[in-house]
Formats: sequence, C-alpha cells, structure tokens
Amino acid sequence: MTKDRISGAIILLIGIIWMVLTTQVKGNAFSTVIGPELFPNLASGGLILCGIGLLLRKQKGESKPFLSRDGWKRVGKLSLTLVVYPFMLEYLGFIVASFYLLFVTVTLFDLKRTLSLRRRLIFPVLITAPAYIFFQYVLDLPLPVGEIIRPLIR
Amino acid sequence: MELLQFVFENLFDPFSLLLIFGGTVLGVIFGSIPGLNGALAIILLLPFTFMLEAELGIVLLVSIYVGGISGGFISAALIGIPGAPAAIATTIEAWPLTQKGGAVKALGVGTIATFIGTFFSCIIAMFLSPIIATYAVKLGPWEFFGLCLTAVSLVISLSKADVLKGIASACIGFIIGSIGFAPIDGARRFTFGISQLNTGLALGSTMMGFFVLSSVLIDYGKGNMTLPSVAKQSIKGWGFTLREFKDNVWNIIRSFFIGLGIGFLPGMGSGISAFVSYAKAKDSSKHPEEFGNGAIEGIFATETANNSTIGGAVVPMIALGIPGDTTTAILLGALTIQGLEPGPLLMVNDPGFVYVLFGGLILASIVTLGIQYFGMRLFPKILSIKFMFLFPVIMVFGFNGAFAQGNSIFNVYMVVVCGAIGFLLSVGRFPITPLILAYILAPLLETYLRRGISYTEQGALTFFTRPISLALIIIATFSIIRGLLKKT
Repeated sequence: MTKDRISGAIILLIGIIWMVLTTQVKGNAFSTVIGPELFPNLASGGLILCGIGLLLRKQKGESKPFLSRDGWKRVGKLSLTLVVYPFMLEYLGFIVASFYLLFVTVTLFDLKRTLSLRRRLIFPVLITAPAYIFFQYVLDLPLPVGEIIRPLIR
Repeated sequence: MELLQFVFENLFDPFSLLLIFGGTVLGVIFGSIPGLNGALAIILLLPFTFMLEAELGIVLLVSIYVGGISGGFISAALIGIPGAPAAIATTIEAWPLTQKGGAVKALGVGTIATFIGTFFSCIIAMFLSPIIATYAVKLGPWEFFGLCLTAVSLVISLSKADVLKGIASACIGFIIGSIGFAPIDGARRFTFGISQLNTGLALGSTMMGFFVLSSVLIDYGKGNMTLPSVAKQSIKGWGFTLREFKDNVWNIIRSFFIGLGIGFLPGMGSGISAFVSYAKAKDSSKHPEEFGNGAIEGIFATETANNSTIGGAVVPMIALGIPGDTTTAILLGALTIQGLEPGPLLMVNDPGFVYVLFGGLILASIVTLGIQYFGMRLFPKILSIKFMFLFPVIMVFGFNGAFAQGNSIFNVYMVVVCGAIGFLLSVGRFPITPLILAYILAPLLETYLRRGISYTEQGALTFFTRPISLALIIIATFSIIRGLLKKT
C-alpha cells in the first residue's frame, strides 16, 4: 500500500469520525436558520472526499523514505523531551522545566559531540535566568511556579 | 489652523516622539520573536496608557501595531518562522531567499515594501476614510465570505504540494478552527468536556506548534542542523538594485491597492491581503517558476499588501467601530477605555484625535524604516548562532509565549499536540500553510456563511445572485479546479 493510500485512508477515517462527532452538536435559541453543525459538516465532508480522492487516484511511484532509521530514533527522543516539558512546567515551574529543556535539546542537537558536559550545563543557566527576568519583570508576565514547588515557597 | 496646531503639538512633542520610537521598537521585538506578537505587546502596555492622555496613549499603541507587523517579517526571513499571521505568505519567498545566502536582500526588500505599504496607506486612509467607510458598509456577509474563501483557495492552489492534500489540510484547519464556542450562537463544539477548549485553540499554540515544533522535529530527524549562511561581502544600500526595484514598481502598486482595498473591508486582516497579492504577483510574473524559490517579486507583493492593510484596517475601526483583526479589536478597546466612541461621529466630534492617530501610524512607519535599515546588517548575525543553541532558546520563548496568552498551561500542551499533528502531516507531505490560514479564517467564514444564508429569503442563492460575491466564488472555484487539473 502506497503512502498516499495510507494518508487517504487516515483522513477518510478522521472525516467520518468528525462527522459522527458533529451529530452531537446542537443549536440553541440564538442559532440562525443554519445551525452550528453546518460548518464542521462541510469540513468533514471535504475531508472525506479528499480521502476518497487520495485512495482512488493513480498512485505515483514511491519516493524515498521521509526519514532514515536513525532519523526516526532522533525524532523519537526529541518528541519524548517535548512531551515531558509541559508536565514539568506545570508541576516543577519555569526555571526547572526550562533548564531541563535547554540542557536536553542542546545535548540532542549536538550531533557531533563538540560540547563538554560543563558547557551543556552552563548554557541553560545563561538562558533561563535572563528569560525569567525578561518574562517576569520586564514584560510583567507571570510564569508557572509549579504545583509541587508552590507550597514550598509560601 | 487650530486643528493643525493640535495635531503637531501632540505628535512632535518630545515625549510623544519617545513613545512612538519606544512603541515601534517594542512592537518589532515582539513581532520577531516566535510565540510573542504585537497584539500581546499592546495588551501589556494597555494599562500603562490609562495614565496618559488619549492622544498619547493611542499613539503608543498604534506604534506597537506597526512595529509588530514589521517584526513578524524579520523572523519569517531569517529563520523561516513567521512571527505573525500577516507574515505567513512572506515566509514562502523570504526564507528560501535566505537559504540561498540572500538574507540581507530579503530584509531589504521587506523593509522598503513595509514602509511603502504603511506610509502611503495611512496617508490615503487619513483623507478618504469618511468616503471609504460609506462604500465598505454596503458590502455584506456574502462578499466577505467570498473573499475569505478566495484567500484560502489561492493558498491551496499556490502550494507546490499536491492540491488535493492542500484541500485536506485546509479542511483540517477548518475543523480545528471550529473547536470551542460557535460564532453567532455560542454553541459548544468538540470540547470533550475540557473547559479550556471553550475558546478554541490559542493562536500562539497553533503557530508555535505547526511552524516551530514540527519544523524542528523534521530538521533534527533529517540531520539538517545548519542555518543558512549570509553573503559575506559588504552590503550597500538596501541589498537590492535599483533595477530590481524598478522591475517591481507595478507589482508594488498593485499589491498596495489590493492590501488597502481588503483592509477597508470590516473584519478582514493582513493575512488575507498578503496571499491574494502573492497569487496575483505570481500570475502576472514573467517568471512564475521562480516563485517558491526566493523570488523578490513575492516578497514585494506580500509585504506591501499586508502593510497597506494597516492603513486600510484603521478606517473601519475608526469610522465604523469594526475591527479588522485581533490587534485592531484591542485598539478599539483602548479607544473605548479612553472614553472615545469609534464610529461615524468620531471624525465629527474629535477630528484632532483621528488625525493624531493617523499621524502616529505614519511616524511609526518612518521609525520602522530606520530600525530595519540599520537592523538589516545586524539581524542576519542571528544566523551565525548555531542551530543547537538557537532553536532551544526559540522553543523556550515560544512555549512560554503560548503560556502567556491567557496565562494557561493548557496552551503549552496544545503546542505539543499541534507540533505532533504538523509533523505527521509533513510525513504525509500535506502542506501546513493552508491549514493555518483555514484555522485563522474559520470563524469568519462560518459567521459570514451563516449570516449570508439567514439574512435573505433566497438563502444560499444570494451568494450567487450578488455580482461581487459570485465573482469571488468563481475565482475561488477556478483556482482550485485549475490546481487539480494541473496535477493530473
């Protein structure tokens, strides 16, 4: 099965699921003649038609893989790092979470291993502190303190 | 005479000039950092304006507005990440030009186009706003729907990728845009019991996720960790030749009036005008094959249009009390807080204020020109920072910029979700730009569609019986069909 056929099947499925979800959308006393279900139905319908189109059309020859095996491994590591970040931000706060994100990503991105551990630890400190000051004091934008940290600093 | 004196006193007072300069710089900074934007800067400074007189307060805020639109272009050109929705179209040409070593040229073209668009549109708007408002209000939801639909269809047909996949991306964008309270009746849709989704996905989350996170995942996965180099020879003037400018004069004039015209229409924003003018520039170009590879015609078109929309958008804001986009909506709020009532009577009751506002926009455009001219040689130095240092910093600012919009950690989670969706779409070779534009325009499209159908007894037929609406729908349909047929 070609990649286009797989993509077509997936978006066809998404379109059908969304159309089913749209049946639960109901108007109210403020709705006009056309209710809030019209637009999502049109979008889902469009997605279904595109999915069918991708499934039925003449398939081109397969192009080279999107990523190599090593590439997928790298994406996996970075994805895990990024998924963890919001949780750390919520529970441990901006300073800890940003230090973590900066340290891990600079380590991952240093493919040729040119940076020593010391430099990889200094970099997050050099960025997190000014960023904190910039957001918190210059912009007066409160940053997450962290649900676990908050009771400790009160 | 008294009016002129009042305007000059308010605009050329040293404190006022300082506010204009400071506001513009702040706007450029906010606009150029992914995750932040000019609207956020205006929100932050809004309480500060309460302490100022109305004229000074609005001059500060409009300076940030102008700076923010311009700043979005800088990150679009230098790192391929639009700092604002208005700069999405510009990224298509500016980023490939930077990748070929033409960062300074991209910045130079964008700077001049920005200035031409903002400066002259504000002058025209200043004198013609009462007349234009009279005509703009005669258009209805049918025409506005047609215009939004045309913008989305042009983006789809222009994308190098598969048109069918472009349509699918746009449909996904419409679906994402319909999450939350529906327009008109406020019916709750697709929130799955999550209260934070009542207001839909935050723009900061979607921009950061789809543009920044997904591209970082792809670049890292492919091992493309080198930023473009900048041409080392010393740059004279604006980075492009007089000949290149002369070759684009008609392009600039046409794009200017497209942006101005779209800006005059209540509810339309810079994103639409940029794409419409880009499509027109490509159609009219002698070398359309160069588009998508760093064609300066494209940059002249998009930046002139999205900045001429500024002057245009202020007209319905002032004369009708209808905002053109999020930023003008906030500016309207600022006017109301100062005790002013936007609408047809503002020009009559307080003409001095209106002229000070336009004057502030004009002066801000001059300040932006200066900042960007001197910045042209400095900003590209950012490309000498290694990928491994630059993008982690961008991610921290972007994530927390998304948090700052609504002080919500949920926005940060959504950045990750949008990044994942964007990455998966890229694996399937689906273009992202139609998705983003469709997401931004979804509420407008739905509002105009539902109003258009319910306003007359003819219902949906009215879209086809009003000439301008019909013409726009034909253009939209034709561009999609042409794109589909080209690929078969």
